Amino acid sequence: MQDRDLEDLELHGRLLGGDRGAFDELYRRYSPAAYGLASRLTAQKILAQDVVHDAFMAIWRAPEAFDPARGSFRTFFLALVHHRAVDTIRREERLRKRTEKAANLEPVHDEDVAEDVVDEAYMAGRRKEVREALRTLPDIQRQVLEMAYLDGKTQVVIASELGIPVGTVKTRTLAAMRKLRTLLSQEDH
Amino acid sequence: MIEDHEVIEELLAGYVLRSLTGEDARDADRLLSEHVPSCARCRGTLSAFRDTAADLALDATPLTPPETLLPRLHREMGERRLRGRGSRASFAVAAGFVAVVGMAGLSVSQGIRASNAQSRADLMQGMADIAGRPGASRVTLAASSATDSAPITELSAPGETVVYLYGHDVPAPSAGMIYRIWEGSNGSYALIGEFVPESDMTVIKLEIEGGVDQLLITQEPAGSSSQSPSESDIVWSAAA
Repeated sequence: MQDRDLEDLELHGRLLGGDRGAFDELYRRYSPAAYGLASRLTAQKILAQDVVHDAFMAIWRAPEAFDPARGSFRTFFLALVHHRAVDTIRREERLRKRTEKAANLEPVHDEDVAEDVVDEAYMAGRRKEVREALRTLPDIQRQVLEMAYLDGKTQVVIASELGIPVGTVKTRTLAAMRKLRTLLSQEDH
Repeated sequence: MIEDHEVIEELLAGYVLRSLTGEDARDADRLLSEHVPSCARCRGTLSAFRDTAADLALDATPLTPPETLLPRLHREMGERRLRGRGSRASFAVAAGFVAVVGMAGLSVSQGIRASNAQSRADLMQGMADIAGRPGASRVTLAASSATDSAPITELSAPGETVVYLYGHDVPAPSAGMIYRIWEGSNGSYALIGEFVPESDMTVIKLEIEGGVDQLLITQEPAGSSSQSPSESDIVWSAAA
């Protein structure tokens, strides 16, 4: 277990006791990654803010939902953000289909990017490892992974957009996940 | 049941990426409840894929949230109250338990001690999801005066059909006994299910379908049949 994970565990323990300082520290650690992920998925500032807001309120209201025996806080929390963001874009998509017009929301602009400013050392380092690992994947594998995770697309949609069978999407996804896991596990040690 | 691990791992990969739909999503749900908990290989794969997905989140460029977001969170954190037993608010969020649809670390309806690690992880994620909904609230169920039982908390959100009950170190029922969950409406009661808690954290997921006046948890002899809860058997309750 990384030092960072141990610190998160300590913060989570304090959160269980209602410690607001621990909440603020977790916010400081994870809000840039969470907001970046939510923004990438939703492409809308307001929606991204709501996703991050809801995720942080979730850990404040029910910190018991994180079980340290099941993995790291980072894995749990970013999965929570991802789930909520994907749910949000699929709900918005359904709404758009019903109303046949796009929601009039403010898009995320590039000028919001502040990677060097907001990302703390650990996250920046891990991000570098992740991006390097992604670069080693064959393009066709990286493509399905990013379309699924970062664009929130289903395998059926990905297959349709790429003009390939769903089975091929599944195969490429699995191959990509295995290779990425192997590469990033090596970085862990 | 799918037995080919290559196929299973394809589904698990799609599952952690939330990219499954239709029959694939249903197959994944079945695997998670029926196969993965008893398959060490699949548990390891799923855990590894979850870690990988969390790493993928870092591929998105980090952004500074608006300065207003943390103050907004602080304001709403301040509004949170752990409401007391038997309050009207407690009743409002307790209303509507009609069916147990899933659980972790316990078995409802059959009263069998079970350890379903993967279902448990999914339920914990579900708890967090409900907790993040607007207006979500936690209510501590009232413990009977005859017991010093650890608290059981109810987690729900307005407009959500799913409600969670959870508690740390919920004591095991006495030998030969079992816990039963009852819902009451207009003075009549219906048995929702039975459970035996695990040693650390117990989580019960319930589906809400309609208005109910009261929620009770009783301790009764295992295998007994009863049409309604007895006052002396009540261990925890949430009522108007």
